Amino acid sequence: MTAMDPLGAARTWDLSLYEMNRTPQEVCTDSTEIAVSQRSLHSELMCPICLDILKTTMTTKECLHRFCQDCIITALRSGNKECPTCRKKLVSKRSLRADPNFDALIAKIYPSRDEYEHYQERVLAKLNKTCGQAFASSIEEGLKAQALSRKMTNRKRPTGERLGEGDEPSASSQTSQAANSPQNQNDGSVSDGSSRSSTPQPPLRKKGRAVAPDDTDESSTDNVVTVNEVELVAKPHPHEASQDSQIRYMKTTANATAEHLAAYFATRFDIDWSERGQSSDSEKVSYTLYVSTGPQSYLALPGNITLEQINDKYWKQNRPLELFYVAKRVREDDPK
Amino acid sequence: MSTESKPRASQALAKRLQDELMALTMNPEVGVSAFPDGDTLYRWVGTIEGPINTAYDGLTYKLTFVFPSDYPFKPPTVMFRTPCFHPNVSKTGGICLDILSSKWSAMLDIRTILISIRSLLAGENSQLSGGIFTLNDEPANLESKNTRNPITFSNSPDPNINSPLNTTAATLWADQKEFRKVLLEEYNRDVRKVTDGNS
Ligand SMILES: [Zn+2]
Ligand SMILES: [Zn+2]
Repeated sequence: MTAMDPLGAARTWDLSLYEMNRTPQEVCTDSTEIAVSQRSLHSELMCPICLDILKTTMTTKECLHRFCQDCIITALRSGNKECPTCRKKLVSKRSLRADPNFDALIAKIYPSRDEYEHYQERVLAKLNKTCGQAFASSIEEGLKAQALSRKMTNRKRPTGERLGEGDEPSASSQTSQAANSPQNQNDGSVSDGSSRSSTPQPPLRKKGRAVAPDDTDESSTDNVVTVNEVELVAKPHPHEASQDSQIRYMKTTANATAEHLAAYFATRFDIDWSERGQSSDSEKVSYTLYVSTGPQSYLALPGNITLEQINDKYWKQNRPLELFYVAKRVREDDPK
Repeated sequence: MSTESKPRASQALAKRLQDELMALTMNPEVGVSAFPDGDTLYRWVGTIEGPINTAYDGLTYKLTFVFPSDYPFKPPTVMFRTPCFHPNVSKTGGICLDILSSKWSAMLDIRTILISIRSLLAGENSQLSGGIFTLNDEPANLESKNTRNPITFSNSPDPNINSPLNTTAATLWADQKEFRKVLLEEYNRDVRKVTDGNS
C-alpha cells in the first residue's frame, strides 16, 4: 500500500519550521564569540546514513543534502535512485559534488576526531570482551554520550564554539549554511534529553502494560507483554565503604546477569580513571551487587542471576529496579 | 551485496544500530520503543502502543526487526509478533507498508519505521466517533525532537482497503465502533493464548 511518506512526499518539498523562520546571519567581523550547542552542531555535521560525522562529504547538487561519499554511493547502488533525505531523483554520481569546504570545516571543529574514534573503539572492545554484544551496546549508550561531552569539557570547549571569528579558515564563512544554522538554533534551551546530553537520563517508567479500557478483566491483559528490558538504578551500598559513589542509571536486557553488570561497572570505572590519568595496571576495582530485601537489609547477588530474576524475586514493583553496589580495590599482581 | 563479508561493513552496521539504540534510549519517542532481542544486535523487538482515541487505544503490540547485513541500505524485515487485527497486517504478522519495501530509504530508521506503523494503526478513518484525532498533536513534538528527518506527519496513512492482507478487518474498517469490538475480542483471545503458552 502507499503509506504516508515519512520523508515528506516526493512531489512537495516542505520547509521545516526552522527553515521558514531563519534569517540570514550577520557576518562577524570583530572577535565576537558565539556559543553553539553541541547537539545542534552535531546534527549539522552528521551523515544521516551512518549517523557519524561526515567523512569525505558529498553534497547533492539540487537539494543540497550531505552524505559521506561511501554512504551515498552505496545507497544509490543498492536502492532507489533518489536522495535518501528528500527523495529527489538522483540520476547518477554526477548529481553529487564533493564538498571539500565542508570537510575542512569538520576538521576544524573536530580536530581530535581520530582520537575520539580511537577512544570509542577501545571502550567497545573492552566491553565486548566481557559482555555479550547487545548488552555491551546497550550499556554503551550513556557512556558514549558522557565520554564525548566529558572530552569536550576537559578541553575547555575546543570545538566549533568560535564559529565566525576572524581567523577562521575561509571554509567556515563560505559554508554559511552550516555555520548559520547552529547559531540560529542556539537559543540556549536545547537540552531536551538529546543524544549528546551529558547527564544520565533518569530511567523511564516501564511502559508496555497492555490494558484494554473496554476490558473489565484487566488481570488477563496485564502481564501480556513480556518486556525484555529492565531499567535500573545502581547506588552505592549505604553501609559499606566504596571506591565509587556514583548513582548510575541504565536500561538493558533483562537477561543480563549480575556478573555482567559488575563487569560493566568495573570497565566503566577503569576507563574513567585512566581518562584522568590515574589508572594503575596492578590495581582493579571489583564490584559486588546487592539488592535490598527489607529496611536495612541487603543481600549480595550471585553472579549468574539475571535482572529479570532479580526483578521477579526481590523487586516486584513497577518502577526501575534498584540495586546497590560495593566497589573494592583488588590487587591483580604484586604492587611495585 | 558483496560487502557483507567485509569487516568494515559489519562494523558500520553495528555502529549504526548502536547509535539508533542510543538515540532511542536517550530520546525516547511517544508510544514506541525498541531494544535488541537477547544477545545480538541484529534482531530487535519493538513495541507500539495503540494511538489514543483510535480503535487501538490501550493495546500494546510487539514487533520483531531482523536486520540484513546491508542495513541501512536495505530495509529490515519487520513483523508483528503480537497478532494484530488490521487490514494491512497478515495473520502471520506480515505488514504491507511501502517504506518497508519499494519506498525504503537509507535514512529511515527503527524509530521512523515504528512511527509509521503506529500511524498505520491510526489511519485517518480509525478515529472513534466524537474523538478528535489526536495523532495530529504529535507531529509538532516529533519535528522539534527529531532534528534528523524533515518528516512531515500531517497525513496519516489510510489503510489500503482495496487490497488488504486481512479481508475481515478491511470489511469492518468503515465502522470503527464495530471494528474496535472485534479487535478487542481478537486481541484478548490472542494475547491470552500467548500468555498461556508462556506460563
Ligand atoms: Zn555516512
Ligand atoms: Zn535531498
